[in-house]
Amino acid sequence: MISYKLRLRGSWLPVLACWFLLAVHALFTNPAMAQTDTCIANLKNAGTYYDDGNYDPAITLLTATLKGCPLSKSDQLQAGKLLILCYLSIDNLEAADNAAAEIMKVDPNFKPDKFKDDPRLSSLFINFSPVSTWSVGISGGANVPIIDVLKTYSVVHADDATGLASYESKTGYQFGIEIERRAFKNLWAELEVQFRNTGYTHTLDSVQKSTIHYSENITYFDFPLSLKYYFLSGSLSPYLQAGVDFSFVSRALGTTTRDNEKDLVDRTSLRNASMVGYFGVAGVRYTVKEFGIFANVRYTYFPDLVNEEGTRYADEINLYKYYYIDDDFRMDNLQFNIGAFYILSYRIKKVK
Amino acid sequence: MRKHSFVLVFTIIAEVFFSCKKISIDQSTGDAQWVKVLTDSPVYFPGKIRSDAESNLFCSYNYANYTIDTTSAIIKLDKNGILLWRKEFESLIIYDFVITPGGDAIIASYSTGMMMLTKLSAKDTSTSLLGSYPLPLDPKKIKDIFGVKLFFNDKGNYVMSGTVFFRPDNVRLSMAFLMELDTLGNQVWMQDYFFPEGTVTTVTGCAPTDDGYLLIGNIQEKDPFVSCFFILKCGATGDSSWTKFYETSWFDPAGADGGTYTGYYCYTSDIIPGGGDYFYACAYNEKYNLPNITQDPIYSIDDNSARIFKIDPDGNLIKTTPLKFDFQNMAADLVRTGDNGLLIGFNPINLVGTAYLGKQTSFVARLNADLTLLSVSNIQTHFYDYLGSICVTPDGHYAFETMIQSLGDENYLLEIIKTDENGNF
Repeated sequence: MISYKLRLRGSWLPVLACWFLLAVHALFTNPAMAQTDTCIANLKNAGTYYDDGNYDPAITLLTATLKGCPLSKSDQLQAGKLLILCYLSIDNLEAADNAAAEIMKVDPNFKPDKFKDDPRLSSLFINFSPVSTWSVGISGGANVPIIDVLKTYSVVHADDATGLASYESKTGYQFGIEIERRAFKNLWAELEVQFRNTGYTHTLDSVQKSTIHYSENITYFDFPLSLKYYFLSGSLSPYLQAGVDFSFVSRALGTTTRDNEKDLVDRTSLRNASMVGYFGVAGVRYTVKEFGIFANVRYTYFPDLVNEEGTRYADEINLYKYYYIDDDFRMDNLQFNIGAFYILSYRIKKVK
Repeated sequence: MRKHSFVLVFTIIAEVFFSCKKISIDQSTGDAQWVKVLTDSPVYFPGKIRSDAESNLFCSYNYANYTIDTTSAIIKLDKNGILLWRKEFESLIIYDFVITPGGDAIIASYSTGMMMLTKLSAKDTSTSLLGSYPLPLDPKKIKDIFGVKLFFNDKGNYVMSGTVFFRPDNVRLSMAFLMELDTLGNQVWMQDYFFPEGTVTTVTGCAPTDDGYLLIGNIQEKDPFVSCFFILKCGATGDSSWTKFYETSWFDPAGADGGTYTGYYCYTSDIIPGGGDYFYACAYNEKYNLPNITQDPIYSIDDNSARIFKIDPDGNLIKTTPLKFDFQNMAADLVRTGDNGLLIGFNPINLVGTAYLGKQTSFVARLNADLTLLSVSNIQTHFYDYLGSICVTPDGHYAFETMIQSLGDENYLLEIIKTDENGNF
């Protein structure tokens, strides 16, 4: 049809191009299709050989097919199971074990069907256990800063004057991604990248007969590096985790109000740009095949001050308009996280 | 040819780039050791700030009038800025004060034709008169006292200098005085220096030298508006040795529009020892090129810079550095820094009521011993403020006394800033 239309226009060049493409397609696809057909035929023939008790030709054919054919995952599993049965039939248990190990590589969570598969397979695969080695996850939740004021400062009162100021924590949020690697037995190493929004309010009484309300939101990028220990190997597994959190401030925005006055000031430069925290986590995870979910509680202790030393008087708006300056204070962080993970890779463990 | 053109263009651009030396004024860096604002009492005029040997700070100010008058007060803060006490006076003018080694404040004041020394006890804030020193003028003719300075000389005695304006016969005249007073308040000697009629002559500062004293002052004439400043050398008992004059403005009657002015209409600051064989002082424009609601501004071929001087003991100007930011060029006070440089506070020229929309904020400049400008920082940039005085504290810091606009009401408040060891705040 195409060539007809093209011929009507009186040009042979597109027709030639069309034939060229068809030729190329045939050159590259037909052998592959032919190969797939051959592979499927090989599998059928191997089944016939097995049924007829010709195990050696079946093994030869299956081995060659598994090695040389682009089989689908289910075809690989079927061929592998047939190969195992062949080996078991000739009492070559070592080769059967090796074939079973190959199947576990294809599907680490493979388990023979108790009703459909040969019972010999079940007794063989019971010796193999998949052990996850890498996983990635995402998590998120809420956090509450735990504020520790080491020393108060004031423009209009004596420093360390008591009863004039109060802090309140604001509930923030965080989310992140994490990657885990099994380090030793049930001990895992984990690296996370977390975005954390946290905040507090600070009320100052008796500043020129009025009250100053200061509220600040601080966002951090956290890089927690930790070790995690799972107490059980089953689907439900509680764990404890401890590590170091490298925390970098992203932005700090302060809102100060007094009577009818209100100002929003970027206070990032007044905040400690980077801090090292130490954290502990208690959590539990639930795994279904390669997927899972988890929940945990984390407490991070930050020994450094939130406020950057030497910047107390650098914010003119707050200093001169509200007589508000930073105290020396720390903020620990209490987090509640939930998340999901995916197991990236397994190691096959042979049970002796 | 093309290569040479390229080099020429590049050279011109480089010349332009490197000749544009930009000095930027910075916001305060936040390096202050502390900042305190006293919100419980209004301040109408800032006075002096001095430190005792323990780095406690004493600050004087006026609590009722926008000038130095009898409604004065002194506060004492500890080295951390905590207010220890406040003493208000209803009839004591505080021009200047020093702190004795024992921690008491000795106040230079004036009353009915006499300069006075009053001792304010740091322990119980009680006052006692150390002495009264009559000026050689009819008290009824005395109108104003300016530029009073009180300091210790190398014998530990008090030295007081200043200028008295008086009006004997409907003519405004001025006289400077210099006196030495022992630690008990007894007058050791006193010298007066009467200035000629027809000019306004003001001595604004005095510094001790190896063999006497150097006084700095300015002479302003009104028709035409020309001025100069002078260095007056006095001996150990105040007898004048020589005077050196430096003209700062000139009038050319042949100029356009009835004549033109060149230079700056001069007022002078204090003069202080520079740590070596030299002294620091400052002069600044007081009239030219400024917006004025009462009459048209007087224009001069000058940029309103303050001139900072390094002066040798013979009164020669070793070096002069101009310094200008906006219209703010009134030197309020100056102190020598630990590296023998200079910290100078400047105030905005009072342009209230004019159409000028500048920020009207004070600033502090730091210069090294070669008068190279190291930094300039506003006290703050949002509200009106006025710098009163600067002092060095024995713990190696500097303290500023300023008056700032109160946001809570219409008053002004006293602000004390203690800088870091480099004068940053």
